[in-house]
Amino acid sequence: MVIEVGEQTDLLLLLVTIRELGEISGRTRLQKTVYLLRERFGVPFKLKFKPYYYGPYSDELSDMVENLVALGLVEEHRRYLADGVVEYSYKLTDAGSGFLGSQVSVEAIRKPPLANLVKGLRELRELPTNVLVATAKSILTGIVLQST
Amino acid sequence: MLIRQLGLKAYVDFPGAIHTRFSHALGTMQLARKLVTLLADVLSKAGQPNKAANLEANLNNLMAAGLLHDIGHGPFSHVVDYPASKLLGKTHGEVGAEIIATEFGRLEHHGVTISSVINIIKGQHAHPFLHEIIDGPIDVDKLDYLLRDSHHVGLRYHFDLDQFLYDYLVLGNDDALQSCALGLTDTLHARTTAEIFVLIWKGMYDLVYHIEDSRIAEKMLEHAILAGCKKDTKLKAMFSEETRYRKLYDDMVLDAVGKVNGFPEDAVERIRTDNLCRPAFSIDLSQRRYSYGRRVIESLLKFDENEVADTSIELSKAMCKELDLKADQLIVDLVKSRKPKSIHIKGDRLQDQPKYLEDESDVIGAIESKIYLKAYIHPALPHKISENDIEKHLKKELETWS
Repeated sequence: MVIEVGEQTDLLLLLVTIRELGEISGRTRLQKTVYLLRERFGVPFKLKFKPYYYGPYSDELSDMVENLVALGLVEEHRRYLADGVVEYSYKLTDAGSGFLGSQVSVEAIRKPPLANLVKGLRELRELPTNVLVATAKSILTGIVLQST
Repeated sequence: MLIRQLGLKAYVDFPGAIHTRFSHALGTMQLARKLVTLLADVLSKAGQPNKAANLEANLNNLMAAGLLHDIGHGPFSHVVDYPASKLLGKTHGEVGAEIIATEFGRLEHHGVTISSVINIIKGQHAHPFLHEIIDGPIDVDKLDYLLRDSHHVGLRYHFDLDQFLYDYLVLGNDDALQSCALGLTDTLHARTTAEIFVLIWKGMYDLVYHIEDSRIAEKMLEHAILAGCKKDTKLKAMFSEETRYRKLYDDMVLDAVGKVNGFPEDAVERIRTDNLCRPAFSIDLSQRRYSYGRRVIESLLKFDENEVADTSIELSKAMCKELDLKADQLIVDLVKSRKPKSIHIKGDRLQDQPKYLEDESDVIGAIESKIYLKAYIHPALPHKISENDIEKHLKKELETWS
């Protein structure tokens, strides 16, 4: 079954995000990218985010990625950066690409909300992680202030 | 009239594990008291008055949360929680919150705020570090059950608990309690003890909580309860009427299920006489790279216990039909071997942002999450079924659920 516009679930939105990026490096970067896609570009992720040290954080997103790795749809790599810091990166496996290809049509990518997702990623991928963190934090702070 | 902390594991694999959930609840409450008192003292001396005052103000709430955190679970925990959630229309978390609100109001006379206790347990408190004391990567629940359970099953796992508590901190800005986290000091002692703690956690899951015979018994009882409730209105009432459900204990459940003819009676007899279904098939899904239908992935995405149970029950039914077996003669199970949640360590970079234990420790960083797909077959099958047959049909089912 190929998905129609408007039927996107968190699963498909996340897989499209990872596929469009090719590879995403850093768990913090993944968290903030998904948050900003929703808050700034209207991508309809339904995940719950809470305020945390590095800004908004979603346990659900973290669990989803862990389970996609355990199901063999996403690959996780752990590597050491020059200063000894460990970084995790994620990309789709062949099984993940195959699954996504069977679910999301080429036409769906050209229409909202997937078109918004692709446009958002074009902007966000250029930003360093600390800018993503600061932007996500400021948006969350605004939301918290509004709600209080 | 006991609820054993290890449920069916105490009947099948660890007959010496006769400790109760109540003893664990008391232990968790006591550890909450110890940790919170210690943290408030340390933070006060370290010039972080808001964190210290917040902990002191919530000491009684956190002790009550420790005492009551498991109160919504039925006997045998998830084995009974799943059918009860279907029949009551409530999760164990919702049942727990209702019990606390309706049965423990008198704690308000002892410095406890019931609404705060419920928010702490459910993770809805404005200050998430309070929830992490009860339910987080290094919570007092795990500190109690890992040492208590390992002692009772005869695994002599140990670490210096009292000394470890001195390594705890509330990390983050003292003026922004909403984004603070429970974590550890950046010392060799803290990191090494945390590594031992995580390895004990992993060891207990591999060797005790997911041990195969007990797991098979749990799945048999789960299927037996569901089958029994369809056949017997008295049994169904025990799980669908909340006042009766709240009074259940281990042997009451086994006795009641064992009185229903057919699979329920057979299953309970087999559990009691150690004549269980046999493991017939097991694969690690990350290695096998099957094709999945979207519904399968969606149902496993958050690995919510009830959703996963729904999937395994439905797969079991489909497999029995495919292989021409009676209902419940083949049971499909999905078991997750988890990665530990990230443990925060007080950091020194990026304006004192925390570090994570798995980034500092190759031992912890190497632990991977795995999902196993398993099948158990009844010892008295009408015909022989090979592992290849099971895999062929399971593969088909996984692919076609879309």
